[in-house]
Amino acid sequence: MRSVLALLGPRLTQAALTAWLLASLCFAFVHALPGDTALRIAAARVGDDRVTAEVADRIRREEGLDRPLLQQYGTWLRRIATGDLGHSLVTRKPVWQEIAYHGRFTLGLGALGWLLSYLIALPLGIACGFRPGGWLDRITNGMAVALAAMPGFLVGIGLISVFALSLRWLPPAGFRTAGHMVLPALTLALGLAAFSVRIIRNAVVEVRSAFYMTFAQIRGRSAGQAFAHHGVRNAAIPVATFAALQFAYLVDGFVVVETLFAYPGLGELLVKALVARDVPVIMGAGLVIGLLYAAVNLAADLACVALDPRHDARRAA
Amino acid sequence: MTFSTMSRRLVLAAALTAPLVTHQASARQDEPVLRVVAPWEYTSNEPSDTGYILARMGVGETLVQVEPEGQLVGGVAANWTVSEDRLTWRFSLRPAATFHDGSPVTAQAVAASLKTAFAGESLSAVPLDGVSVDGSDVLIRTRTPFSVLPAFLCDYASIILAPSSYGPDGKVAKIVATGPYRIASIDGKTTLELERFEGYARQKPAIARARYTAVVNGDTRANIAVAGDADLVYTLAPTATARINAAGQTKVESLTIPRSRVLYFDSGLPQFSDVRVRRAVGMAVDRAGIARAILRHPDSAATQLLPSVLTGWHRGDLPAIAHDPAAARTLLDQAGWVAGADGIRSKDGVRLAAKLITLANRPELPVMASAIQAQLRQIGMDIAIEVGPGNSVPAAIKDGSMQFTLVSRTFVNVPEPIATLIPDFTRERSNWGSVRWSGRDAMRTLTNAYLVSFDAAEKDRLRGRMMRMLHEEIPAVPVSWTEHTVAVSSRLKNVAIDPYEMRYLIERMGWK
Repeated sequence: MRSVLALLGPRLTQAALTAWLLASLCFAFVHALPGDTALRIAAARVGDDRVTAEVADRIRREEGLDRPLLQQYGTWLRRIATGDLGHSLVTRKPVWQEIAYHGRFTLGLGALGWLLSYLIALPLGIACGFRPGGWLDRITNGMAVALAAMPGFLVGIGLISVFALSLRWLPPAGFRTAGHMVLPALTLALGLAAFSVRIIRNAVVEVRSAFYMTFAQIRGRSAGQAFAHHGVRNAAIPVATFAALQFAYLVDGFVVVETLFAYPGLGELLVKALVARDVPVIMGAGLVIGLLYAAVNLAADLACVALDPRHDARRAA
Repeated sequence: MTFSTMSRRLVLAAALTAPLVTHQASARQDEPVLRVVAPWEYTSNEPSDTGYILARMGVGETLVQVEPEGQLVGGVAANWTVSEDRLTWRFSLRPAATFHDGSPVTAQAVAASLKTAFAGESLSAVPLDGVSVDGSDVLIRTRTPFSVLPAFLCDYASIILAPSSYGPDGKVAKIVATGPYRIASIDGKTTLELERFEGYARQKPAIARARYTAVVNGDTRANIAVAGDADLVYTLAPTATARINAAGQTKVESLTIPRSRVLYFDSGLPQFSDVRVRRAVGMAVDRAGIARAILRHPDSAATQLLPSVLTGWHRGDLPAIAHDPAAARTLLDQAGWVAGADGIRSKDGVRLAAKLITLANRPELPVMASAIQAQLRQIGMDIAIEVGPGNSVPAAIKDGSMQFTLVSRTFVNVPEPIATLIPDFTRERSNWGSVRWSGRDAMRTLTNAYLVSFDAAEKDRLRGRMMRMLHEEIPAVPVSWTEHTVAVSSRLKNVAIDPYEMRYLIERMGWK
């Protein structure tokens, strides 16, 4: 328990600092972009055809975009301190409401994609690890390299072409039914599985060649039994760490997949907010994604602590 | 361990089902749903922002509406008259009309809604004196005679909303309007669920339920049309038409609309101040080639600024701008522009060169800009292309860096092109159109005369003079008109395309 607390304290501070830094960098970068922020927001509100200097000037005045940048940043910091993320300059809704609405979709898609990736990668990776160099290992390796090398949108377009446009089994875009989630989740899952299948395979190979596995077999366990009893938890530690690292890929993947499938998640929100220069949404999303990233990594570390057999041994002693 | 496994499962299950919960609430009737897909997101309830979605889907109605053929008809108003002094307009409302919440459409409610709309920028061109109520009529008074007021009242920013629409801060909190459809639910920025408004006093729609879905990405919209996952898919790339028709789920229909792709000049620059240079640019551009090869629609080559669907504004007596590079070169020779060693002309130390700003929001524009760049090089003009976001043109005009632009411009923000011609051609610096054109004062004289004239023949004569002036002095080179495209599913009948892009007319459609 103490080790968990020792892990938590500094990590939470770190997480808050990282998130703040990320949001502040977002603020700096957005304002460093050329062009008039008020004009961009006007275009996002009323459409390109109706943008006039008068609309932009009104927005600049109303939203306080004519104030010095440091003052705008100070206002944001003060608001954050009270737990207020501000409101979107385009939709005028509170930022937390926007993030909660879009985050719900991303969470659903992310969980499904991540789960699906391990449904693919775990059996394949373990099977390959049992027979390294075998035909299954070679085929899986080839496919993993190909999938890892392909950008996400290409995999997505391929899946749309086959399953939505040619076979017509699934809808090509949208979010209304479970059927709508299959292709975007599969696009994410294939990208994730391409890496994790190799990590799982290598972890299994490594654990299986460890001395304690040989010892277990000498004691009369079959290869499968020995792996189930002594191998799984040891092999799971690098896999858990890697699974957390994949969260970064997921965030990256969301931006592409959500745009491609017209899926209203956080990635889509972020892209549109960037185009519209919707600064409060960009900073809010930066803050939340930063915190999520830290939380996922922390969860993985905690999982590793729980998985580590030595931890049990210490507790028993 | 057991507890954490359980809670993990719970969290996972909640996460997976969360996106599915919301739509189940609205899926309650057996009636088929008309599925409409278009690029525009419903970002807010503010009519000046997204009123066009409400107007197109038949949720919101304006006081006056325009038919696809161009005539103005009553919307919330039944009819209207103008006073002897041409300053007071009297609008009689439709009897027994109700808002979507069942409250009556009273003159007080309409006047209050109009006053809010007039406070915004989109109706700022109206010389408004005041909105008042007289019995059951609404009176709109202007400071000067303004003959095109009914056309301006078609503006989606002025859709009529019930008093219950507004929150305590005076902003629109929810949409309680008067149209044949009302909003059943709104899901984020992408989906509006609509149901037939049973209290609608005019012709009841045949289709009971409709769903508007915003899909921003053009390729994704085309995929939806290919898969037949919608009944009406609006705004498709010309390149997608063949693919959609071949799939057989939907069929692409199109109509030429008053949205033109136009080259605008800063006529104050030494390169463009001579009308002969602007005319040479007009003659160097191969409109037919661009329409055929890039737009895949030969008829969209523009022979003048506005297409024939705008009967009063398309002038049959104007000669089509010829594609004649040799004549263009002769014109430039006459104007004193001499070719240098690199083939680019110059005069008095000024090179015949310019930066052409075009926009990324319409995918055909950068491709067209490249073609125009090559065509202008043939006559000795050097063009550098800069592709920017939608607002880069107003931004460049404002900061004085605009030289030459290629934009897609609609001339029917209200169903009266004068509303676009005034800001584009009568100001020293427009928002979207010409800059420092020497003919702007003469043009303003004509537009002012048009606004105050109530005589049809006089107005027609003025239209002729305005269009001839733009055609001859070329403050802008029309390149092509736009095809409004929509993929239509085979189960729909009575589909019509509105060239004014004001309405989808789904209230007139039916199932086969």
